[in-house]
Amino acid sequence: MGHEITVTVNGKIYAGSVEPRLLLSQYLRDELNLTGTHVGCDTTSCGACSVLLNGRAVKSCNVLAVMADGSEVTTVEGLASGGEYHPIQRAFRDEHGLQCGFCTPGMMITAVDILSNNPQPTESEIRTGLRGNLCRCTGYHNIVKAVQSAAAELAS
Amino acid sequence: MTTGTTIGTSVIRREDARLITGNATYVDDIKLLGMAHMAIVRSPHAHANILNVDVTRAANAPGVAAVFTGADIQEQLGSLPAGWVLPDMKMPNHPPIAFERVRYVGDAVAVVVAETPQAAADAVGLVDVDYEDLPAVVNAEEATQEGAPQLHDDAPGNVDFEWEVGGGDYEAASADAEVVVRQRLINQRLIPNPIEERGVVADYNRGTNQITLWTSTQIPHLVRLLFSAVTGHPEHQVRVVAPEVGGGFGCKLYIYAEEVICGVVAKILARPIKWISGRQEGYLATTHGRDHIADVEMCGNRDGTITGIKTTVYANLGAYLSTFAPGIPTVLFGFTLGGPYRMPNVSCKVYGVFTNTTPVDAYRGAGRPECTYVIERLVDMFSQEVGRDPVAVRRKNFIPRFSNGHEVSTGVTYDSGNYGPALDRALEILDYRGFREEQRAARREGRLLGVGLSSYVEICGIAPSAVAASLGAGAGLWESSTVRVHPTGKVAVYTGTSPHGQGHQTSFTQIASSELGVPLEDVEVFHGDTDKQQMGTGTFGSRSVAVGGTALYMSLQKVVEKAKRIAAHQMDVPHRQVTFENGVFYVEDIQERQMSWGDVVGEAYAAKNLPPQMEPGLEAVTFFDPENFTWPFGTHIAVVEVDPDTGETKVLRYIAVDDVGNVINPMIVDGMVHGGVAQGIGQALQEQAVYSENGQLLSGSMMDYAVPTAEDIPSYETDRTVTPTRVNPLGVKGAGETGTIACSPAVVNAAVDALSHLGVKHLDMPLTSEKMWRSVRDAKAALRAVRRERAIAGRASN
Amino acid sequence: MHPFEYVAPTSVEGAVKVLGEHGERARPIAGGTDVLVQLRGGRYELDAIVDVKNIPELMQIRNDSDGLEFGAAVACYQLYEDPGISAEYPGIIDAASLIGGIQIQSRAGLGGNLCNAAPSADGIGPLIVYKAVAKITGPNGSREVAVEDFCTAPGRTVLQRGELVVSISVPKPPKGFGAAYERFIPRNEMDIAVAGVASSVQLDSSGHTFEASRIALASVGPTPILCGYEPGSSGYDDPLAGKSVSEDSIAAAGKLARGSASPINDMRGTIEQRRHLVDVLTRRTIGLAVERARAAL
Repeated sequence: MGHEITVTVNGKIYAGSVEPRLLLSQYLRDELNLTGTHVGCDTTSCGACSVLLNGRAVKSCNVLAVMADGSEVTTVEGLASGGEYHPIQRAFRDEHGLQCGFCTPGMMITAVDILSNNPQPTESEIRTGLRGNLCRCTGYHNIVKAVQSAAAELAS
Repeated sequence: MTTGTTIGTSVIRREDARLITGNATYVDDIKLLGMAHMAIVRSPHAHANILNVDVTRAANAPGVAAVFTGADIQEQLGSLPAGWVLPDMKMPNHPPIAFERVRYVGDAVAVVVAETPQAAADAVGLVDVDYEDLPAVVNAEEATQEGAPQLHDDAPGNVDFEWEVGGGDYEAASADAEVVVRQRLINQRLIPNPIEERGVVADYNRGTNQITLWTSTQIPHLVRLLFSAVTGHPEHQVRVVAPEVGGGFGCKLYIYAEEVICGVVAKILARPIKWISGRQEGYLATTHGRDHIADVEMCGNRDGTITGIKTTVYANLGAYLSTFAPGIPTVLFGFTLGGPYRMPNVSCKVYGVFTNTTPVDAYRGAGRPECTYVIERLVDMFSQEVGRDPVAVRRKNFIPRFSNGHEVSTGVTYDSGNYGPALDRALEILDYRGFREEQRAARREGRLLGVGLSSYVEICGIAPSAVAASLGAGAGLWESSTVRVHPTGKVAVYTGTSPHGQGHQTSFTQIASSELGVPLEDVEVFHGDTDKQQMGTGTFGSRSVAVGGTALYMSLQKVVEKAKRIAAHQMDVPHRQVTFENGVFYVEDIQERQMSWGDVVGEAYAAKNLPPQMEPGLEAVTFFDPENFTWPFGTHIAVVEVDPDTGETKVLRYIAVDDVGNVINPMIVDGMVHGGVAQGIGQALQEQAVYSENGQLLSGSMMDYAVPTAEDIPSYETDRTVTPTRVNPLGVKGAGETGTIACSPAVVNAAVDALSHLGVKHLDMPLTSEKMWRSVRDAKAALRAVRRERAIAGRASN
Repeated sequence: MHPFEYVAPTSVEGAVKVLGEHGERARPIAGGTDVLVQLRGGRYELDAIVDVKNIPELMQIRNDSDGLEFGAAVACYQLYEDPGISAEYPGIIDAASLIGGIQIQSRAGLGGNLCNAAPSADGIGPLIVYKAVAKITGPNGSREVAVEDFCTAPGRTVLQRGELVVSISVPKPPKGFGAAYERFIPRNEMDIAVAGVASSVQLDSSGHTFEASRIALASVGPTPILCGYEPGSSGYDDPLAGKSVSEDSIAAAGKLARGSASPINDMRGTIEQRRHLVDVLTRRTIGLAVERARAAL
């Protein structure tokens, strides 16, 4: 039943055997102990589990681990590099784009994808881009501001 | 190094470093050696007798360690209590696992414990339960009628309590009034939806008889107390930890069946047990909010004077009493029915009713959004009826400015208030006159624009314990703090509040750092662990800074006082001559006579030269019980546009001017307002828990229940006025719930305003596009019919 | 989730073989975004999942003077991030950039949207109004099926045991062609339209007369509906051909589309509202399609 897979997660190569029905979210959390990726629903609605798969945001509860074989995955744990926060992390902190923090990893990952394809998004483009990520604390106001501020920083 | 006061400044949050890096530990992130996973078999029937539960197949399934039915362990599990007891209230049994009858879809009937979550989930389907289906009722008003299905033998007619509050004589006032407006208002049922659902990890140490529960809760200390009361396990051998908690909004404010079951099962099996709720499971098993059917009226005179308000409410409690449920639609609803207005006559009657639905308890605002909705809808209807501008009517009836208490007709005393400036500021931000012109122009083009106001007063800072007890509270509602200064001068703050997004770690650090003159980095705040702080109440009802922050402030004062005595002794002066500022103890007018914070703390622990009879160490504990609630207020304004073709209703602008007294961290307070407003817009426009007549939850997943997305709401415009309270020395009132309390009526008032020229007088939430489209279409048709009749009548009279 | 086998063939033949062996108990997945949600929701059980993303033919995109052909496993973003495709097929892009949200668009494609055959599918209507054709390969060889004939019932298609959609082929739009898709979501759910309308128009060289048109409806019947067409028949009753571009002709098309809809009542919307929305969206999408057609004259 097990499938051998090799996945590069946050720059580190992991190889192992997985059951076909294991979700990527479960693989990251339970097998690799990368619990920064959160699970907030069971219908692929909330977006808390978003990770970058080969550079694009996906909902990791909606991808089988076995389908990620040979791919590169970035989770929230991999956003910072060399002891420096990613600009999106800094922006979420500085603009108070988080409260309870549960949606935050998925929200930041999606924001990274938005900015990589559209470095200077309008407010409406940001809101549309984030529509697959639910936040119940911030009312999105400061999340939008954080994405704008990260965009400005990345542009400078 | 940051010194000096940071009170009132937007210090960035100390909790964020772990949250933005994935290093926070929520319940589901906890793994213990030998941990088993629990899944719950839940009733698919809203109301049924349990004839038989056969666990044979499940018990023999691969990976299954144990299966328990309600009958197996009813003795150990006990019955879940209500923590708020009203006069003549019934207290039906609430077994954590049902063993005779199920009363709502989601009621637990058995639990499966297995080696993996998957094995536990797989085995749930192998528990065979024979049910005898019974008729169900989901509507609170229908449940009280003759012939309705009965849920509990000891609550005839399904009425758990009848509760009244009032003042003056409403019936006389309405008889004398020139105008009375009446309306039935539905405040629909909502699902709170923190993005982290609930979860529990329980561990049992056979050697010490200690049970530890990690649970996603707002009230770890009350969970410990209630767990112990329910199960009989001694309280001092129970530790409850609220780890990182991913939002609560009121729905994590109770003792839940799963907390009791996990603890008891961990003890029976002597191994760690984890239960993590799925979202769809949570929709059934985590409390819902609101769900009022209210007949309301307001009376007054044509000059715009309001003289009274009356409400009769059927409050849906769901199938069982949740911990605070009886207090929500009563105490937190009825006492503020006068709002910010001179309201000499108030009449309020509430029926608390059982139905075959998920239990209903607090959801952000908890009683106060329902109250504000009643008042503010009525004020708009009254204004329309007397033909006056809703702004003018509000202003005319405001209670004049007061700073030291104002008793209202329901018998409670508001702490301080100055309602006009918040209204004025909100209107100024909007440019009210300009908007009215824009609205007229838009109407000429066939566009439907509307503006709605909501002026509110809320009851916060829960609570003065004796008052709360007289109203039914089953526990003291004070708050505690410990300030422990370490020998190196670093400061550990322990609080009984239990934040889950509110940023107490930051605001409490600001208070401690400012009072002690130590850098922010030298303060650490600990919360959510019953082994760290002896007893506490928790985080809800916008109480944390007003009550918990004050408890902290008082402990800090005690620490400073002792430190000053040590400094005085060391510097050989009377202690009254010692001043403490910015971390330095000095003798007035003598610059060179001074000691640093670190030196004095060092002396406190070195204990080689302390004042006579003084104990070594530097630590203080406070249990602060406020003398009154706090009463924040403000005015919110919504501007909406309704698409006449599709009915789609969008909030174009949202202005919130709140007065929450003094503010510790403006950034955090603004964030609280934003989040509450989004939830208020959600209620006004789109959220709704829908049950079928036979008790199935139709909005049973995030695909069917419309939590607002970033696309659904605008950016907000916020501001504040500042009217400090004298109830606590910080002058703070509480800021957690203003958004949900003020928002929904502002949005509904705006939507009604957008359609008012078509003759629309009221719209029930949620304002779905279908409802709005029909309202526009029907109103236009009615107008055309009237014009036709007039034309015919006109021709006839010619 | 019921345990299943995971197979990732690298050729169409390999996929056809596995699908043939398992029949209804196997499904091809590309992004898997629909199938995984359905499996987790217990809507059905599978014995095998056939991941088709490793099959070159299903991952190719060709856009040239004959038209656009994309493999059935091509993800939405691959279409809308291609400037050429975006410029030439805006009606398809309307849908590709709507489906799910960006995380879903990273995985999901129009091929999967078509094969999932949901009545509410956003992607099918636009393909119909562009006269797209599904290229299918199975144990008995290959065949082509017009997209309007592809869905037979909710979740059901013309695919026989072992058959697989390899690609979707869209003819090159002539001068004076324009198309658009709009849907209406009532906000009481996440991503399922209560009504969606795709319209295409072919204008004459003056830009003032309709030479041909297509109107396709979503969420208002058991399958996507092409107005004026009975599935499987050869006749097509064009709602606008020969009419001048005017408010009246567009309003008449709206009424006609409304009459073609056969919606149901459910928690998301009523029959009455859905019919009304079809009318509104038809008028709006024809308006936009005309604008786009005139820009392409």
